[in-house]
Amino acid sequence: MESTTPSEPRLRALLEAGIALASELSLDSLLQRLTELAAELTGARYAALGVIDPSGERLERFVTHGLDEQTRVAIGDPPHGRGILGALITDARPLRLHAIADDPRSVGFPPNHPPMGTFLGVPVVLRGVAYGNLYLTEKEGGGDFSAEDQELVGLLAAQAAVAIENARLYESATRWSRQLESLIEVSGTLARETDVDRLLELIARRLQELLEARLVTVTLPAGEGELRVVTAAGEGGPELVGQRLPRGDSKAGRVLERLRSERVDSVGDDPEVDHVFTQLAGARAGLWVPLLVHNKPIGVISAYDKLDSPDGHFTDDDVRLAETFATRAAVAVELSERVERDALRRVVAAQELERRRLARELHDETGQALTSILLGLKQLEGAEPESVAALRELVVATLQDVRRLAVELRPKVLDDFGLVPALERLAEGFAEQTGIAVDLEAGAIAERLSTEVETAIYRIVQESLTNVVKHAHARRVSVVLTRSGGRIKAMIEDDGQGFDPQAPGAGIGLIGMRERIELLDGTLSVESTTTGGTAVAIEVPA
Amino acid sequence: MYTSYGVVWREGVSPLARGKLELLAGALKLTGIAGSEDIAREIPFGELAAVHVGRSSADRLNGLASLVVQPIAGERVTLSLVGQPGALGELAHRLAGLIAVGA
Repeated sequence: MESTTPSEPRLRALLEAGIALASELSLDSLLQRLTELAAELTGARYAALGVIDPSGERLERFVTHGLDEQTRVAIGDPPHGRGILGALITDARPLRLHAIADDPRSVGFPPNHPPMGTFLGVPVVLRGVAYGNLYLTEKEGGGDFSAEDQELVGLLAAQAAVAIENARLYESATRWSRQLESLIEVSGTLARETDVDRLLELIARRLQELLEARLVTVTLPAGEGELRVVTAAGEGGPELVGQRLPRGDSKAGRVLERLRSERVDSVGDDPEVDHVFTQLAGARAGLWVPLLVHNKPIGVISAYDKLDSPDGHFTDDDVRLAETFATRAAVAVELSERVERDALRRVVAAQELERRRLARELHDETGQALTSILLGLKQLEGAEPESVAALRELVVATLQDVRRLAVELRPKVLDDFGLVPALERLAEGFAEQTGIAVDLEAGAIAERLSTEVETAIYRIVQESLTNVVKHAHARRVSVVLTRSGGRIKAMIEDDGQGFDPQAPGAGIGLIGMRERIELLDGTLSVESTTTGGTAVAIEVPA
Repeated sequence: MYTSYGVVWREGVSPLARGKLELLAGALKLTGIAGSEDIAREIPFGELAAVHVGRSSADRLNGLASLVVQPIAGERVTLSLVGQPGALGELAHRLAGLIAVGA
């Protein structure tokens, strides 16, 4: 039986090697020294140490001993982990060969590679995790590597494993520390910064640094069916800000729909990716993470091309990191929108209050004063009948104008009797003035709604009717109010000429209406075609 | 500032029309429908003589105060606004300014 106990001189050499290794701080220097020691202790002419990348599929480092610089250059790229080296990666057990070429797993050597016969390969393993392999070839004197050689190299491999694991732990700890610092910075900024653009810029910049991505963008919905890049950090970022992507035909849009992150290793091969945009960004690989608030998608963070990966691929850890940042970004956007909504709500409320005040003033004060003048003039009739009659006519007309203005500003009937009577008056007055017939169906709304909801629906119907006059060339309008599942729906539909909702500038007049209804967590949609008719539909919680 | 207004108007004794009034760079433009006929009318500011808010019974449209636009030659145009409370005075003021510049 072959002895596997190293001789005393070799053990002493191994001990000295351990002491030398303990004083080495750089991982690269340490692995180089280990490789040299393995060669010295076993009498191998050539030695190499391959470190497997965290994916476990290929070699990320390949340290050699025994090859001069000229030979290394002539051989070219380091091995990728196929053949005998690959066998040790997939099956982490020591391997001794008399002749490499005789092994069926051998794939031969590349051009300019020196001939190698005898072989000893020992996995670098710690607690069951394979970090790489130590390879030795061409034992002095032409003999095979022994079991003792294998034992010695195994001891060195164990030290290499500890060193590699420590380096990775250190790298990981450093990375986590940087991530933590960035997250603390972002969270701190979130608490004091009200400018959402600046916040998103910071988030994109920090994420780009931490992911080591070539480019990171933040994309938010922009109108119907589109997304817009609001901020971008990294190479070519400034040129991409403002770029628009089709929501239904881009990876960002898909991620918004599916509410889950996606990673694509080759964007050119993915049919869902918007290739115009990725070509503009020069992207090869990417990851997309949705910004979610209460599971509602409000935007997407995208990262393109990991710089320290040969193919630009991102990892699962990268996706998790981006998701952590996406949570912060979503909070930033939500907070900003909430502040904006609150401000708008206050403006709308103030506007209505002012209208109410003006309407009351016009109706009660100015109207009363004009009525008094009218009564006074009546008493003067007979003195100068013609001029008094003209004056009387003017006062009557002015009184009507004042009353009408008061109604238009804030119909008293809306406050006193509610939405449906107010809409009936509105429809009647509109039909009388314009000649456009209005069919109002509001039987489903029997009881009063909140002032905010009544006002919003009234103003939207009023604005829609004005739009019908301006744009539709219609003869008839129908206004239908329904109630379903705690929500009020209103549909204003005309028989006019319609318009193309996709045309540039289309729907600009709807922005104010949409903002008003969104304040109440409602929705507004428009359907129209150039062949005829437009329907504005709103839905709002009762 | 670009603004359009929803309007009902009558030119001379023509049928009542309804549609949109726009103040373009050099002209007042009315587009809409009268009965079943589409109408488009553009009057350069330089061809307008005067504008005023009409409150007399002769100037009113369906009892509503109107904006009376008088061209240098041709029939006067009387129009009232749909919606946009209180905007008649503002429109008269803007148009008077544009006529002054156009003239």
